Amino acid sequence: MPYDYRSMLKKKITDNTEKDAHHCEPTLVKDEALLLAYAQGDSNAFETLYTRYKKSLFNHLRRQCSNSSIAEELSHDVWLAVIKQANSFEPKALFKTWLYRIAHNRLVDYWRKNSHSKDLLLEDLFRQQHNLSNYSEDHSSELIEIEELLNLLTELSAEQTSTLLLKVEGFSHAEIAQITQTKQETVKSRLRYATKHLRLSVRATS
Amino acid sequence: MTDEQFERLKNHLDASSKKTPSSLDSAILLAAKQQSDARQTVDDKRASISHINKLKAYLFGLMQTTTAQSAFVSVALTVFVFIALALVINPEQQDRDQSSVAESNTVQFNFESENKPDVIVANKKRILSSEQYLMQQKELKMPATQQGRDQILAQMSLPNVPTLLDDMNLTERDERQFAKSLISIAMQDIRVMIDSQNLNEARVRYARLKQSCSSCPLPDSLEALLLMSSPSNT
Repeated sequence: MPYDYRSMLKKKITDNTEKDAHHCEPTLVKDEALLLAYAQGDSNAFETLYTRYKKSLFNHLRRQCSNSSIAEELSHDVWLAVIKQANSFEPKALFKTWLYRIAHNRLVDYWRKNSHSKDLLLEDLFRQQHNLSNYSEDHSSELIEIEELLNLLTELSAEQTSTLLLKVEGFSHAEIAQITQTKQETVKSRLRYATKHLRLSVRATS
Repeated sequence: MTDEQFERLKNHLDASSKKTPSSLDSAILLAAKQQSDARQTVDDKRASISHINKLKAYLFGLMQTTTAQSAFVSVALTVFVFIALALVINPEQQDRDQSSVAESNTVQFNFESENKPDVIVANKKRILSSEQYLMQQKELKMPATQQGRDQILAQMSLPNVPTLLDDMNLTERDERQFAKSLISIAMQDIRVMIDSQNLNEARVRYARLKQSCSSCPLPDSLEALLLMSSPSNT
């Protein structure tokens, strides 16, 4: 008998006793359950979902665009796609993976028309470096770390940067492969290249 | 990178992350509510149609089994049901309800840019003293041979970064900070490469610096930078 995901999720919404080990609140409803609730007409469920992911998604997009306005437009498009397709979401993958896949597709479309840009990503790290250097406490190890990361990031291509940022968001290799629609081996090789480059940068600076 | 290093990169990025603009939040939540309402309206109409279809089936059955008088009543009721059905289902209204959601998907809301100057854009607008800076290149005696150019890299010192930044005349604080960080890192790399006799790698690294720091009016080649910065050229 095929496993009925929708009935399972409906039961979770009714019971509302799901415990999520990764979150502090023991009764936090899972993303997929919230999206299903929204598809059935509960707009508050969408608001909860949006509040959970709006900041991380927005920053993920802005770090790969040339300016914040573009990131806002892309973010707007992604969430509208979620709203339109909520009914057709099949809970075979995690909501977060699905969300970032939509975002990645929008980014790829943007890169086709405009070049990939890491300006805001580098700017964020420079700003962080500048802030740390202004403190009276010793942050030398963190400053060196940020320098290494800056060296690394200027070397990477668009796909490598995107893969690295997805890894930073906490996705596994399999999930990154789903999001970027590539093979797991490609994901591993991109991350391996990034690691190798980091070691070379460290040797160069030392 | 180890998991710990990924975690530290995440911490650095989170420390400098931005909040979503409130205009974006409002637009998204409004669109979500409209879509949800539209779905609810369609669902309600579907339920009504389903009830009316059942009633129609009952009335048709009734018409077939009753006498003439009852048949007349049944026909009248059937006509009434059809009129009610027509009033409930208005395809154009349905389309209008859905189209308002569709239209809201394409509403362009005004992204007001902040008053802070965009670091990259500001660079293109400001008037630099790059003319003066670049003019110096014309007066440089660039060696014609590869050997001569290699000697420049091997024998001349790299410029002092603060002095280099002062010469660029970068007016915006953010631009200066951005350029300072990029140039400092690049100079360190180039120094290591020159010390280990990897002169071509040093040239490639300089080219990458020029590409990544579009705000910096750097000369075309690393040799030119060293020649310009040498005391004998001032």
